Amino acid sequence: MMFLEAMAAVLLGCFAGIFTGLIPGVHINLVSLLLVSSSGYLLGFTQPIILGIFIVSMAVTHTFLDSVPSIFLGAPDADTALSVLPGHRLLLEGKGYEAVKLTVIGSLLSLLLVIAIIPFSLSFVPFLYIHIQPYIGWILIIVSAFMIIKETGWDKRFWGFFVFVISGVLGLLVLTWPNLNQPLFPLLSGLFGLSTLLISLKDNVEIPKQFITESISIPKWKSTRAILGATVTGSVTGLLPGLGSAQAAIIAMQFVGKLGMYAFLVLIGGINTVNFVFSLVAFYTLEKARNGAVVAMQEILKSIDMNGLVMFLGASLIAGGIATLLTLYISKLFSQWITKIKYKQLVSGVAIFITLLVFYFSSWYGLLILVTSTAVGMIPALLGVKRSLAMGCLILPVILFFML
Amino acid sequence: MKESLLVKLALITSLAGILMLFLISGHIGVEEKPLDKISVENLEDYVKVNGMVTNVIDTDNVAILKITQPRDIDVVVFKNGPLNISKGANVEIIGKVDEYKNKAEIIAELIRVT
Repeated sequence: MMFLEAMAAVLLGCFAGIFTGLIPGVHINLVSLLLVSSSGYLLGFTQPIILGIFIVSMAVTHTFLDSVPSIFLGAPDADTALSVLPGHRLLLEGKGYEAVKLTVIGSLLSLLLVIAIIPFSLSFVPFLYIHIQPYIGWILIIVSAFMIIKETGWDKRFWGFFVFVISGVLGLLVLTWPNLNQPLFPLLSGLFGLSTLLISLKDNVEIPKQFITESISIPKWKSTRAILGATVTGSVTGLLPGLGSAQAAIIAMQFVGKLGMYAFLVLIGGINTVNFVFSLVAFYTLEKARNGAVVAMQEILKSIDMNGLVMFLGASLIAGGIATLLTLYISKLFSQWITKIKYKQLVSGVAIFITLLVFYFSSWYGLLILVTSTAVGMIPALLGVKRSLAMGCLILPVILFFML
Repeated sequence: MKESLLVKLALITSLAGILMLFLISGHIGVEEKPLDKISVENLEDYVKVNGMVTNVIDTDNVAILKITQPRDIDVVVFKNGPLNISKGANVEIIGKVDEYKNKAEIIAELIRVT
């Protein structure tokens, strides 16, 4: 009976993950909060662990599927923001499906690797946590400085620094804005989504016919480095407070060396999934929640024992397998559908859709943030500096959180 | 990586997960606790208890059942409809441990007459 309930929870979780993954702005935190608020009623029918399995399955599915709107529509969430640019480039080469497939490969292989290393990591997680946490602020300062210095020439270094700081100030303002729902949605959609789309509109690009091909191959050493990088940085950041997939990606980019566009997508996909799965280890070993979904699980379960952790890892594997098939299928549908619409119409449609969602979630203030962050997001593209420096919007607040 | 290999890997991953769930699900459940082991130290824990109903206070929205094992504990039930449990019934209750006047009580989430 328990097994059947668990399986039903996994399938329902995957189903919910399709919606949260595909619809920009609808995050798993939102569904998790709804679940917590209705848990009093739901626990009349089932056990807390089953609700936990639902949340885990939804979150894992979400980490696979959220690359689809990010790559096809340029509408990312915080975890996939850095995949917009390489994803969009591949989309313009008719390889949107392959771009999504690369993130799926990263997600699935990193999921398997992280689950394989979790049994060995349980004993040293508390040690690692205590010894790394005091230095997170410094690590991020060094990584950010390194990213800026790597720009070629003092002119670009200056503008890189400017983009990092202005995005950071914007992030600080938005994240401390009182009574603002979903603050990250307008911020990241503007910085990485709308700005990319508007610039491609200026360049008068057309989305070419999309091909469901298997033309991309990555050298084994590159994909191995991407998977290892994703597993290590995703795990460490899943353990520590204030850090998510975006920060993990920035850190990983400095350590794994030049990966190229294809392996970079593998890295982003992997980090996104590992970051969530390893936050379950933080929940088990440290009894601490590192993301909204685990906060909801903590509300319902308080803590988990080894059986609970194994149950959640089992649910992650099932959800990962199902999400792989779902994401490949859905991205094929997107590939067929996206060329039937003229690019200008598509960009206008997505811009209107994002604007309406921002207004729905965050009202007039959200629109103000969207306009501002879109303008800031266009600066790196127009000045030829790295778009990832706009991640200062999340990194600077985290640095200040740890240093002050 | 070819799509066919990715699909095979996804299927194997799912099957491994199903096997894990199947093996572990027999060991999972809310822990059944004797009433004398439940105290305010278990605050917020989910527990399963069995016992006989020795008193029922029934109001419009809330009912308080006294469960005896022989040690007793109050079980608070927030009602959605009429409560068809009377004195002398043997019940199994799953709920969260709460504290009232320095004493542990259970906020019921599932009640079954056994």
